[in-house]
Amino acid sequence: MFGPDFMFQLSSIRITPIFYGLCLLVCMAPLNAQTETDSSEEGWGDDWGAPVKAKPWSVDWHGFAEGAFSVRTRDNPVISGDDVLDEGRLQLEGNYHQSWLTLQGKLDLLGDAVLSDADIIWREAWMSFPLGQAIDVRAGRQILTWGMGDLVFLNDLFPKDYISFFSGRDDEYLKAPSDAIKFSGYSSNINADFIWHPVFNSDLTLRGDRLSYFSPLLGAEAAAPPAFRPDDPDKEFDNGEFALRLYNTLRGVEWALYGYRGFFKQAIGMELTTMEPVYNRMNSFGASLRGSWRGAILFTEYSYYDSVDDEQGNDPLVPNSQSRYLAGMERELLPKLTLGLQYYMEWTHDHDAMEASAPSTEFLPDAHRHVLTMRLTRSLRRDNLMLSIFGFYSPSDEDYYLRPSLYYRFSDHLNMTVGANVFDGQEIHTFFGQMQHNSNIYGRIRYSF
Amino acid sequence: MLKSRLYLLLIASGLTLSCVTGAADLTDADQIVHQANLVQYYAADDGRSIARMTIIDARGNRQMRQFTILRKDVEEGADQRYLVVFSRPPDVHGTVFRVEKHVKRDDDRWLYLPDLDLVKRISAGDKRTSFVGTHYYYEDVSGRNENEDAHELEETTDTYYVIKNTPRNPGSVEFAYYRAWVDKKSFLPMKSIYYDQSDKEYRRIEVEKTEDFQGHTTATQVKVSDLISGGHTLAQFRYIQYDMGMPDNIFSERSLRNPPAKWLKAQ
Repeated sequence: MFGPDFMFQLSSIRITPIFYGLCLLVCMAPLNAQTETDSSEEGWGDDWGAPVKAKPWSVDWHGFAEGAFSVRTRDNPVISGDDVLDEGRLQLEGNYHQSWLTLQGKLDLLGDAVLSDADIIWREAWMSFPLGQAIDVRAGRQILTWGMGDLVFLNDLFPKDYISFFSGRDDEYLKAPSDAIKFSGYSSNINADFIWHPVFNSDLTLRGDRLSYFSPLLGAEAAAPPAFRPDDPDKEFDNGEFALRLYNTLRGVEWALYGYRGFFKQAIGMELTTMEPVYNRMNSFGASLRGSWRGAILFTEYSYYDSVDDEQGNDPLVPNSQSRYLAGMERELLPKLTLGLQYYMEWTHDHDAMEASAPSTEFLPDAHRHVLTMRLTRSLRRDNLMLSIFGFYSPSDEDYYLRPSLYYRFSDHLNMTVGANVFDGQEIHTFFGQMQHNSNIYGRIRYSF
Repeated sequence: MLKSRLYLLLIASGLTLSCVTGAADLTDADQIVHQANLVQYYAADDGRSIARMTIIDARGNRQMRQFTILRKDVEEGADQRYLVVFSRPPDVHGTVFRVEKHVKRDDDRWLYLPDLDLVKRISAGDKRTSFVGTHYYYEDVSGRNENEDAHELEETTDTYYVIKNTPRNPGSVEFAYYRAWVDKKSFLPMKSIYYDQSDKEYRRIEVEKTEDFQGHTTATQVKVSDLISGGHTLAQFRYIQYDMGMPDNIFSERSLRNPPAKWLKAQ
């Protein structure tokens, strides 16, 4: 799995200024914290914090400082630098709650030495309030998730940040924020979520500045410059996204129906006149079930992606309609050792029409793409040490993606994660195969407060 | 209908309690264990408490967990609903744990991770493993099914019934047996000691403080010791309130994303 170049990279890791500075900061911080919490004999103190605060207008503050570093384990033919991540991040979170109103803000200050960039990113900025007894409204920038899959998404068409996911940032950064209004209605028979994104929120896909990608136009791996930045649809009401979920639980079985009107989340289509990548119209509907059986969690999900601009599947510039199917299970094998397995399938409809109309069939997806995933998690030392491996393997694409990681919790404030993103495949144009020169190992150290 | 049956049951059990405490000692181990189970895990129809657990390992390193726990009984002595909302430490702040406890089948458990907005369903796990990194086990928090053990009244002292509990299925648990000291007045188990195959004690749960809330004697400070590693967890419970009249619908997915402040907040 790890070749000689991997070992070479290990020995040549350079600790860069940002990472080093943050490590120092993070390592010094708990010294202060220790003295604070040790004021009384058992380290109690009488401050029971937010749940018992009676003061109005009191804001609950949290956050973390984190240093993250990630380096390529193979030479990349189109990107010369080895660093994938070298960044320091400070997250500040404020939460205010009074009888009917909740306000939440989460702000990331990011210093990035790989792209020589500094950024201020609102990760969350929302207000939440009830409308009557049975409806909650959440408006603003928020993280949205639904669906059954473990790192596999079908009806969840909220934006994903695949750059963060593949480069070694925390799992939470796979979910990119949405600017949306969410109405949640509850009753004893059925619950409903209706979400409106006034402006289309695309996935953040590989751009070529940090990680290279396969370009079907070039027929080869590509990197920046120019960075791959497709134009979003115009900001019109009709180009907003609408998502609906109806769900409930019946005798321990959770069921849900989903609907979506918007666009493919990735710019996989092409504009004829400019030959620029474009987001094509897409509507979807689907369903899911989840229950427990003999100590295991079993789940299944289906989604139909309706490619509105290419119903016949014979337009080579527009992606075809697809059916996506997922079945999975999770169970504890031994105390604190959990196994998760999933089977996922993408069925591209009208594949014959696609082949007939395409100028070249070399890089076309198969009619059926099969993916198997496995997650093994072992938790040790009263959950302070977590070993985990997640693997994707596609027998049809003949490619794989492995995510081993080790998480250690030094204290309530300080934790560390080291891991790897290992990609390989027989061909350079498949989903994980195109990532084979982006394999990396990473380390993160985080001080939470 | 169920409600009125529950009240009848409560009144009946209350009556039995006052009768027996005033009269002769109990001699039926099963009855004592059943009574202790009701007192420890089924006080009133519902209850709220804020728990703080300090974990101290053998080297003196300290960690803390603080959470508010809401509980409602579906049926006295049987199924229950739990909502556990974490406020500390910072990396688990906002995490919510929901349990539908079933006596006749596996519990249904969900975990809400706010950073991902993810509602994760958790498989029925071994109930005798660490609860959120403390020396408590899941089973210590939500109760052990009394039918899992055979009960034997070993001794009746001035203050305690001493019960030996032997698992009916020894392969399912890590202990060979455990001994519980049940207070004769309150029926609260004040001490439990777990023994291995060679009769060596390796785990101890001790109630260090109790208080009376609305007529229910409640443990407010508990120490759980791991005698092998030398670590222990000290738990304090405060802001305890019973019979708040919690509606069923607060034990739902809605509460994972919007924890029900009205019921969580200490008055």
